[in-house]
Amino acid sequence: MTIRTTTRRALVLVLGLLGSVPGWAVDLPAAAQQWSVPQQQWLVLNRLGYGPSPDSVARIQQLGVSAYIDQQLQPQQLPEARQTRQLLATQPWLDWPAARIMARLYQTGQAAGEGISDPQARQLAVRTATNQQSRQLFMLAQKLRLTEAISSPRQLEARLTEFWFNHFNVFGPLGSIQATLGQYERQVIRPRVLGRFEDLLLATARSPIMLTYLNNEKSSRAYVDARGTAHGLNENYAREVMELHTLGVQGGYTQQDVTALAHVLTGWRQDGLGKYQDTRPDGFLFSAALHDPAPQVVLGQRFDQPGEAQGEAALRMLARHPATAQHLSQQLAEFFLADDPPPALVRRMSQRWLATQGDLREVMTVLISSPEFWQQRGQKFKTPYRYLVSTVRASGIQPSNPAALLAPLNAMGMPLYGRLTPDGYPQDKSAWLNPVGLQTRVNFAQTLARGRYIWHAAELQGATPQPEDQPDPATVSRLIDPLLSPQTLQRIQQAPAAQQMALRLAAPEWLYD
Amino acid sequence: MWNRRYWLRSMAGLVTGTALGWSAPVSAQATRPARLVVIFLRGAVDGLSVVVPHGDADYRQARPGIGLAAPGQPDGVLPLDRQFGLHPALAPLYPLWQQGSLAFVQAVGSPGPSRSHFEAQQFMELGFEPVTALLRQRLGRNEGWLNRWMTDLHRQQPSATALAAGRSLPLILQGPAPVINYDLGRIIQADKAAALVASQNRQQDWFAQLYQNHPELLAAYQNARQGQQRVLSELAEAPAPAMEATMTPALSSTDPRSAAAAQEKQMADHGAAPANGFPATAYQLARLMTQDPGLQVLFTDLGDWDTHIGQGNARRGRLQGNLGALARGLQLLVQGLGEDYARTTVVVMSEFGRTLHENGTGGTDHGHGNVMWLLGGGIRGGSVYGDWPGLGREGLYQQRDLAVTTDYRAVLALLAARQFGLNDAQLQRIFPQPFQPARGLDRLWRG
Repeated sequence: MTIRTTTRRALVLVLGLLGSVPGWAVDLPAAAQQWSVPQQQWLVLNRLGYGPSPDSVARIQQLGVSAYIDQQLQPQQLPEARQTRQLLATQPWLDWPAARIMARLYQTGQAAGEGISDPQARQLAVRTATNQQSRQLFMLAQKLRLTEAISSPRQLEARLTEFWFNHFNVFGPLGSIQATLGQYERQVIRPRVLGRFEDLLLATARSPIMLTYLNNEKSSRAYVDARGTAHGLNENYAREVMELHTLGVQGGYTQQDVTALAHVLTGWRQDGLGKYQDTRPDGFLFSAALHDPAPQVVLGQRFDQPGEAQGEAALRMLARHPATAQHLSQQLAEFFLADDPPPALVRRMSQRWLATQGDLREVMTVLISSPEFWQQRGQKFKTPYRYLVSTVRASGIQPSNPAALLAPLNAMGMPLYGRLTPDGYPQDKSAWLNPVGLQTRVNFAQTLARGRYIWHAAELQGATPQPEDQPDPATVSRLIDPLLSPQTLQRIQQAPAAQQMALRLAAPEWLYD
Repeated sequence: MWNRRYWLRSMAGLVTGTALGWSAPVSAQATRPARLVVIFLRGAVDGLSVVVPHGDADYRQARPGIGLAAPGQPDGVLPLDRQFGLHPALAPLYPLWQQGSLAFVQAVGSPGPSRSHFEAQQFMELGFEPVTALLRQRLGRNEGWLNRWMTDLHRQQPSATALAAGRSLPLILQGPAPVINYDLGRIIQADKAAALVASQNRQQDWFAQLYQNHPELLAAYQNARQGQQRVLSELAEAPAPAMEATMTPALSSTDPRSAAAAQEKQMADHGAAPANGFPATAYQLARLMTQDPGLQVLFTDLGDWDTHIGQGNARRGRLQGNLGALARGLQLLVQGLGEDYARTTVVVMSEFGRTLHENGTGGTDHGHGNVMWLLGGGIRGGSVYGDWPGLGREGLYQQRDLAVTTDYRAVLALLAARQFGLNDAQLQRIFPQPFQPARGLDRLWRG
């Protein structure tokens, strides 16, 4: 990567689109020149976002490809979508610190139980109110995610948020996790997707949701409490953090390393109810009393720091490990480029990772400025989520009810925030190109084309499609046709006019990137 | 290594059997095909809570909080033999044990050391551990052993197909052999099914033309259309199998009309507690299987077995809830199959077992050996098979988990040979990696 100063940036500044913040600049490789300008634009909109939408096409045409990419790498300079701000204006919870959300949830429950004398009835009222509030917050998080992906000008950030959430996956619809899931994505994951990987890793490690999901909050040194109940080690998080979050299953760790790391991380807990003085606003609590202070050896390295510093040092070591650089460069390249990405590219990304101590913006820049990034399309079969979001974008509508989009995702086997296991959803074709999945895409394309996608959602029975849900055929054609082969276009044009939009929205070159 | 003598012996048995007209006596049964139903419990079910070694002092000591009591004690297990008992939540299956068509093989698993769910499931679905480049190259990444099994049945009988009940096609059934993938989690009545078929037939199919030059898309699309047509046509014809009145509650949880069900559906839609949906799936599997003899290999998977926390015991906790749903579903399947049960084998398996010792949070962590469940007309039930390694320190795997003394493939290979008549060469194709032949399973298969 080289930094350019000069004319293009000056031009952009004159246009007043970037403001005065010093920019990030990516040089396009020679390989990009094999495409016409519109082809470059469509390639970038697809690879660094969820495909063309009327807004994003206008933006990239106005800025040019290079400046558009530079902007995408500095999302904080772009506004959030208007629809996002609307959602949050009425429901600000997801921008609160985790501890505040949990405290409010607790108060909501207590308020509902007030004045009920029968303890059982009281408990029920408390639980019902708490669950209801949690479910509402979970629904808000789901709507917000879809709205951001569909409407946000920060398209790369949205895709990276999807990637890193999936990498640090938690299962959403579960008890109290529901309440802080949106907070986890917006405050823990999203601000760090172009930062240093170890900061992201540590933030997830300390998030109440991860501490709950992978049970580390219950892991402690061995002791017996006053009631005679024995407590001790739970190695779930320690294993997954090495297997999935950092080194990879081939990363060369042993069962001893897992156990040692679990000891290191004892005392890392969450305190949702603010019961303890030391609880931080993010809901994290380090309990010295439950921490096992013994020195431990992980991957041959001795960790004898006091208290929380021991875990922090061990996690930083894992984040900077060559196996981690390799594992995550591979995954990023698979996500953005191909199921089987060129090893040379992965090697270069991994080298950059090590040279910059895991600076994710640097690693992404290597990817985007590589010749491999600008090779032909059609190497990546869209996942259901990517298919759905890109298809809604290409339809040009702003869905009147984004919640209705959850049902087709369920039917395609990829419920939003619904991956039970910490490995996250697979991203390769073999996982998603199957009969049921394809049939559901075809069904979705048909109902979307008729302005009736809402009908997919049985739980929204009674909801009626709104006029703004009806896509405009000319828009769909303008956004999708540049990607279609002459043969596909011909087949579409042979079909009755009423079928043509659905055929575009499920065309072969649209199902692949 | 392959035990050639074992295979030759089983082949000899098959040939003799055929010559003697083994399957001749009952005409209805002679025309019914052999069936294999595989139910995969994802997340590693705690086998020591399924077939419980209640008599073992090491077991009681290792599980002070979540251990299950001996038969006859309050909330005790149901007696299987002197050593083992059945989890009380599995009581609906106990009559099958008493009638002799339910058996278990203890200490089963994959010999590999993995304690990763994802890796272990993948290995167990591939039917091998792709340790060598040769194996990877020969089989590709995505061809499951159950698909290879299906390939041979399909060759013998072109109408034979596999059915994966669920929302997507799992690795175990990915591959070249025909597979129908259909979500059976919601009950579809006959009249509704007929209406769906009719409406499909009316539409002209522009999408098939759209995918004409894209073989992968076209194959998936045609498969979906044809599979859907086949399933719906069968359901349109299928009379609802007789159910005992006591079984209807098992289905009510998936009835979209009830209020409790609405909540449950919401959960299931997000992928949670899938075991709750199993009774409905099992009920419909039985409807389809009795109707369509071509459905020879059937698969479904259930989640939520990863009980690191709050595993519970006989009456409380996630495990008993999920086991209860599984048992009710299996009961519905067996009842619904009626006479077809005689030629069906149901296998319940999981990627690995869980730690002998209860962890610090009322649960169990990832372990090694597990128990495999076998139900069917050909199974000589009423016995716990397998070579029990014990729970003493010297018997445990890495001094912490139940050891694996029977390779899961050995049990499956036995069914392939004895029930389906697959030969040595076919078996080597299905399970290309050498594995330890089974010990002590000689009596498992009748006939």
